[in-house]
Amino acid sequence: MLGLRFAATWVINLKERLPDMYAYDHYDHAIVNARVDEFRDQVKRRIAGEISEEEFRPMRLQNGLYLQLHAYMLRVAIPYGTLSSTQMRKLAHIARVYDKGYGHFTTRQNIQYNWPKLVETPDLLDELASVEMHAIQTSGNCIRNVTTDQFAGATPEEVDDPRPYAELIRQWSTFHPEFAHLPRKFKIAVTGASKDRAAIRWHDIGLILKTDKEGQLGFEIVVGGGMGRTPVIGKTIRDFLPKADLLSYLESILRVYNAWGDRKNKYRARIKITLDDIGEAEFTRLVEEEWERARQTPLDAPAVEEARIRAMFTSPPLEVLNDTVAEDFATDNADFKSWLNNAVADHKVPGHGIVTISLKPHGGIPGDASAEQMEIVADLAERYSSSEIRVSHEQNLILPHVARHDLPTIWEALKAADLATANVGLLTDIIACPGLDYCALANARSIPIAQELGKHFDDLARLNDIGELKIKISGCINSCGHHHAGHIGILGVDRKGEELYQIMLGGSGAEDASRAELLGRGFPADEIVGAVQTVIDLYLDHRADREETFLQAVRRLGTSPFKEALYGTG
Amino acid sequence: MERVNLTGKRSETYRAWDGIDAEAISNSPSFTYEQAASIDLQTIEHACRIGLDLPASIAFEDVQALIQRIGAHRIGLINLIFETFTDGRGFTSAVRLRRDAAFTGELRATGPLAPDQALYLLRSGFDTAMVTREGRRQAFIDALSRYSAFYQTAADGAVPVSQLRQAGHADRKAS
Amino acid sequence: MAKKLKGPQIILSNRLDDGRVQFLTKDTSWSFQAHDAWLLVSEDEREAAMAAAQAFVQSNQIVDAEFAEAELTEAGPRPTHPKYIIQNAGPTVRRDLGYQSEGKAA
Repeated sequence: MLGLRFAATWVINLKERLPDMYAYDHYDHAIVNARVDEFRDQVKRRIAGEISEEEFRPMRLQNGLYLQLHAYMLRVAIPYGTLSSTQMRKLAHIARVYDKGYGHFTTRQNIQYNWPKLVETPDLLDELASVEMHAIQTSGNCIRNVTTDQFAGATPEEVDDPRPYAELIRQWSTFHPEFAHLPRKFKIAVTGASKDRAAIRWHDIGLILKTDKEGQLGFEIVVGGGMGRTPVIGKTIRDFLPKADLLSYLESILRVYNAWGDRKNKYRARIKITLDDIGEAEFTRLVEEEWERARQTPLDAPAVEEARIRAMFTSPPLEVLNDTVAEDFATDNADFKSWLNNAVADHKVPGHGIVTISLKPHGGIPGDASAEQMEIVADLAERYSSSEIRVSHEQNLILPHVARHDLPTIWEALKAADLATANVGLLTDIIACPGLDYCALANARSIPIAQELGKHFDDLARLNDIGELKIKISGCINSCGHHHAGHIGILGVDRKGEELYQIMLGGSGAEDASRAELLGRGFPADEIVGAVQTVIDLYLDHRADREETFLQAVRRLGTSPFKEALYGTG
Repeated sequence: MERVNLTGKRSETYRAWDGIDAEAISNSPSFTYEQAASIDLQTIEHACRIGLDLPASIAFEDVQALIQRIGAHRIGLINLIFETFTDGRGFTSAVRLRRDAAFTGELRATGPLAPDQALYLLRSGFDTAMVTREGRRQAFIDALSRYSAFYQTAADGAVPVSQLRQAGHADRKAS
Repeated sequence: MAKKLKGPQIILSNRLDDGRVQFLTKDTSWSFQAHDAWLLVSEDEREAAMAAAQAFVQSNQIVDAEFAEAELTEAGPRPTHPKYIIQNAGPTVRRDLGYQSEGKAA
């Protein structure tokens, strides 16, 4: 009898797959646990007055703890946007116990909590450590979370899975002794797909996986992209770097930046300015020269270590499936059909799909998820997606490996949790920073604008007619909402205590990266939605055909017609 | 000022040269950049070894030029003075002094350093820290044993985790 | 980057242990409501108030203190700039979440 029961359990477990992601060994655990102890000690010393705020501030920032308008804010790292069901459940638990029952997924694939208490943060970090999570280097003048394509390892059009490299970079950059005090923050992104879903060219370093003529794997190295006050698209300083040389080359770039970056003027301290000051040719020469020295030392991970890490991201391939369950369900259910066409992308294995869960319900707060919603996603991932979840920099969640025949069941569950808005990639799939409602750096609120746009354009048929359109809203020039890369970018500014909203058009965060162009003076909060409507109307009136996207139309028409429509001037 | 010895290397006390008294030069003098760049090399012939007091912000190329001028064997101490503890340039200078200038003398960091930087200083190649904030000494020493595993190959020569993993080291108790 | 403020002001701070916002009162203690704040009209008042606030920094109870422009209403002082209005009232997008919502009648 016992034998039969055991066999039944074994068969069920075979169906559940473990997530394809990095798993800590005792070294990783030791490092994270030591960090929690260190921070606990730092907090104790701060409360006792043994260290001043001036000394403590860089320490707490390097543990992701900001002081915001209403409370502290903790930014928890989700390395390259990958997490397991177990980890997502812990994030939900933390939202409940240490916060106000929700979290906010960010434009760098992390999660933020808005109400933690300083004195409770060490315990919070302890809980994170128990599920192999942390808040290390999510703020401060150091190397931040490495981000990547949210479809990595699942998309059919990939040269190689970027995540093992992202993990190598994560380890190399964690507590790097030389680079803990850079001139400014440092952001690295990596992709393996030709379609850029990670805003590669907007990063301090962008890495694009490719093969050379002999079929060897390596990276195109892009340096000096960035937003903020001076938006710049990154420049390729090396066309091909063999993958085995990755860490030594990165180290060389960081070493040159650390030595030469501006430390007097905060607004000139990012590597994009350093590159410009020194000149691209000279900067590249300095890096290549340093690399000749750096590669003499054993900086790069041994091949065996790369293989060990890579193995964790590779599991036996999914079964090829061939059914019409989803299509059949769609013939009788228009809402499901709409979602199927919108939120499910092709998977590299036939019969499977990549599901994007929109965290942009119309009228809701972009990127926010309640503890309950997080648990529902965790459950769905466990049952239908190998316990694996991704976070995109567009503030949505992804189930990367779903069998298409499970889609109707998944959709029903998402719908019940208000997670099935079929607006992925459409106008109301808005990126918005927390803005003046939460952030001490902001000049204006951004969330209410996103909410108003969601309510105003609350018609799926209309949204689909408008087609692909990325609106990105920032509440200040720090650009956490990525407005420079928006097809429509909106920047909130403060003029004499009044919030105004500037519109810019034609930006892109994809492989065709471009800066949005400012149209003119800002609109008050009660006029901005109307202004966006005017822009949309003009596009609909003047698009070449229904296939021409908004971005294509803007690039073809230029911004003059839009300026004319909004301001009456050419 | 409190001295913390990170590596156990012998650490001497150097006296800043006043720029005038040539007699004083035989007695473990330390020089600023300007002094070292211009001093007549004959006058330091009798000194055992000299020290250099340099700003942590100095360009490595400038230090390298000094070393080439004076002779590496004559320099017992390079002291990088941090105006703020967040000036990361001193760490890159330390790394390059060890790797590119093959400097084997005492490498010192002086300034309002935070104890939590102890391992960063050690692993960037520093031997000693002169801390200008009071009461930090024990915290510095404690900080050195906070972490026992490191991801990077660094100037202190500690075996990084990636290589320990290869060697299949027996499970240590995670702390 | 602090610009010179004009007119009547109040002082606010974040508590060290939980980051919560509070306003300096006339008897140099703290209230969570701006309308309890000490309205500072003269330069002398402002100096004295900031000195009192800084004592709380020294004793590790607050992170730092800053001035905010305010106007006097019937209910008491009220910040005039959006940032401080929001700090006083909580996030405008989730009225149920700010600390200010605690203790309110359901």
